[in-house]
This record gives sequence, structure tokens and C-alpha cells, in this order.
Amino acid sequence: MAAPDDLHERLLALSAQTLEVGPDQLTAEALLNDDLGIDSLAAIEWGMTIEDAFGVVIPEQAWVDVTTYGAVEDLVRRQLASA
Amino acid sequence: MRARPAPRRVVVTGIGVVSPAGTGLEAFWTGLQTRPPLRRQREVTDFDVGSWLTGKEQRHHDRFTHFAIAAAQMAVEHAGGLPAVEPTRAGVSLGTGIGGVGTLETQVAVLAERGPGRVSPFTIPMVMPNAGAAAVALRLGWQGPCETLTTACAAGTHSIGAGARLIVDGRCDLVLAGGAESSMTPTTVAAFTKMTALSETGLSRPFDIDRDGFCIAEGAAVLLLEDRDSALARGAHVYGEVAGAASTCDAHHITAPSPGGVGAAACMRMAIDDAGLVPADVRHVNAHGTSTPLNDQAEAQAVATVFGPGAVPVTSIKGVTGHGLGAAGALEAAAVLLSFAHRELPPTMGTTVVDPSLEIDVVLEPRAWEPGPTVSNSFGFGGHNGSLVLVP
Repeated sequence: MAAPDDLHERLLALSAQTLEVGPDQLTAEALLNDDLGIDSLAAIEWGMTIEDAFGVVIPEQAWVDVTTYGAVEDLVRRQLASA
Repeated sequence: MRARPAPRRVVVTGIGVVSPAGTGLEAFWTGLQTRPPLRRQREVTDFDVGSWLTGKEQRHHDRFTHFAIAAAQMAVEHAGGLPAVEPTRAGVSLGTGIGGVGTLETQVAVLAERGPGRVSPFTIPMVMPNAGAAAVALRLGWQGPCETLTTACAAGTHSIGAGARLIVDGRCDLVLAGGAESSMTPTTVAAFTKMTALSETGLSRPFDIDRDGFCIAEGAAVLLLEDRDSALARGAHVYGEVAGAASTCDAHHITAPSPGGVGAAACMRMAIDDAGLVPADVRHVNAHGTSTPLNDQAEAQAVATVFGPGAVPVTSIKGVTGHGLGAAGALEAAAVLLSFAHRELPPTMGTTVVDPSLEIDVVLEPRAWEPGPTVSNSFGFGGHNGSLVLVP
């Protein structure tokens, strides 16, 4: 399992590349839809790249309650912890 | 349905082209005069997708939609921008033969190799045949009719006819109409090959004595259609008029044309009548001319029946472009409009000896002409016939 700091950096780099946004935009409070332009399909696609990179499974339904970038990072940590 | 106002006339004020013969109008016209290499698959080679879509947009759209977006944007730019329009009165009519089959084929492989959890959530909105039309409307914010006809290789021609009808009927003031296709996948090529529809030699030669099938191709063409009075009032350059259109079905066989080309002949006659003309008024036929033995024979019989043997010059640009399936009719309408501007009929490239059993005047070398009413034909598997009458 990745160390927390390592996870933060790795997720940031992966997300910036996948979502085509600057890493500075990926703050914990950034809203997926309003700030980052990520709709539900793009979120699921992003989740697939996270699953591949981190070796976790993120159920499609888990995205329903996630609205910020910080919440996504928390979700990845939880999934890693429960893996 | 309520009664319509008086019919309006429809003109073309912008043209966009992505094709194996060239992307953009200058490259396309030059390409139509240039002998292509022998290839049974004719890809678009000069298309810079990054000029039209961001990386993320590219990933989320199939290649046929890339072409649709680019051709539509080109048509708008060619028109010098868009006139002010009420969004609900601006429409899109964009056909395709097989839509995003390339994306489907890729995802089928993903499913087989990696399981359902790895299938892209964008698969459906990329594969659906209406994806191209929807992407064009989304980009422009157009909220009028946005529709896709999928009549195989007649889709481009039918879509221009249907788009023009939206203006004639008073439903729309502006319509982007045409076709887009990019469906050369290993499966479709294998399937067309198995049907013996594809050329073995890679030489597309419409109406030639030795023609041996079509060369499959990709591309898109989109026309900006406008109400004629409005276009003239704003001083728009007019490239031609969509004066008539017709659509019929052979109801004879799922892939073979009706004997003697009777279905094609009836369709051409209906389109000419729709334009308020008679066959003797027609100065050029832009043929479907696929280079398959059956199509070219039936179409030549139909042309000879409607106009008389050898009475009207016939061209097919498929000698260069190959057969762009659902984009073909739109590419050919664009070629006709350019032949008005250049006052020249492009040659039927690849053809050297016209089949002597065909009683038609096939244009083999570039031919100067006084532009006049032109019939542009498309025929599709399913027995679909489409004819447009374009007038300078």
C-alpha cells in the first residue's frame, strides 16, 4: 500500500494528466462538476484510471456522494485501507 | 400538423470537407484531379485532429465525430461565420452509415481481455450513430432539430435533402447538413471483403470494363444551408441551391439494386420534378459510381433511361475518394458545388476503358462546362435511393 504522502502526490499527478487540468486546480475543496468540469461519465472514467494505477476497486455507486477532489482522495484511501 | 407557410428556397453558404482526397476545399479540389495510390482502404491522411478538438474531447468522441465536428466548423468558417439565429431555429441533419463501430470494436476487445469493469463509460455516447450530429449541435448551442439518418451509403445525400426540407418548410433558418463516416475496422473490412464488395486490386474505377469493387473510405462533408432570401439579404456568398431532393426504396433485395436501375431512375425523376425541372434541363450527373459491377451497371441503365443514352456527362469522384459510405453523398455534393465555382467537371479517376455495355458519357478528363442543374445520386444497402438536384 502507498504511504499517504506518496498517495497524495501520485493521485495528483495522475488526475492532472487524466482530467487535463493543472495540479494547482486540484485542491481538496475543488468541486468536480463546477470547478473541474467533470461530469458523471468523466468521473467514472477517471475512477478506472485510479483503479488501474492503485490496484483498488471503486464501485460506480461510490461516485454518487463524492463532490470534491478531496473527497475522491479520501475515497481512494478508504478503498486502499479496506482492500 | 398545422399548415406550412409558403415554401422557401435553400442555398449553400458554407462547405466543410474532410476526405482522403484532401481536407479543406482547396486540398479537396486539387485531390480530385490527382491520381491516388492503389489502396483498397482510403484513409484521411492530412487531418490534424488537434486543430479541432482538445485531447479530452478526442478521447470522448469516435473518429467519425471528430470528422463531423471539423467539417461543420469548416463550413461555418467558410461562410465567414454565422448570422444571428434563434437557437431553436438552427438545426443539424448529419447522416452516417455505421457510426462509431470502431469504438465498439475496441471495447469488445476490452471486454474480452479485461472484463466488463474496464469497458469505457463513454462507449454508448461514442458509438451511437447520432453522436456526430449531437456533438455539432452541442458545440454551437443549436437547439432546433438535430437528427441522423442512417440509410447506409445514401445517408449523406438523404441528410442534405432532409436538412433542406427543414428550411423549405419554415422550421429552421439555418441547418448544417451532411454526413460523416469512419468505419474501416478489421471486422467491417473483413465483412465487406466476404461479400466480395471490395476491390481486390485497390483500384477504384467507376464504370470501367474491369471494375472489381469499391475501395472503402472515410471522411465527412457538411454544408451550411440557409433560407435563400435571408442569405441574399445579408450579402452571403452563395455556392449553389439545393433545388430538389428525393428518397425512395427499391424494396427488391437487401444489397443488390433493382434490375435495370428502375428504383434509381424513379428517384432521379422525383428529385428533378421536386426542383421544378425536367430531365432535359440537367447538365451533369454526379454518380454514386462505386466501381462495383452491379451498382455501376444499374446506375448507368437508370441514367440512360432518364436522360437518354450518352445525353448528359456523368462523373464519379470515388475513383479518388473511394467510397465513404454515409459520408459519400455529402462529399459528392461538395464536389458538385466546387465544380460550379471552378466551371469544371472533375475526372472519373482510375477509369480507363468505359464498359461498352453502359450507354453513358463518363467524364474521364477534367472537362470545362457551363455550370447547370446537377443530379447527385447515392444508393445504399437496404435498397435506399437518394438524389439531390443542385443548381448554380
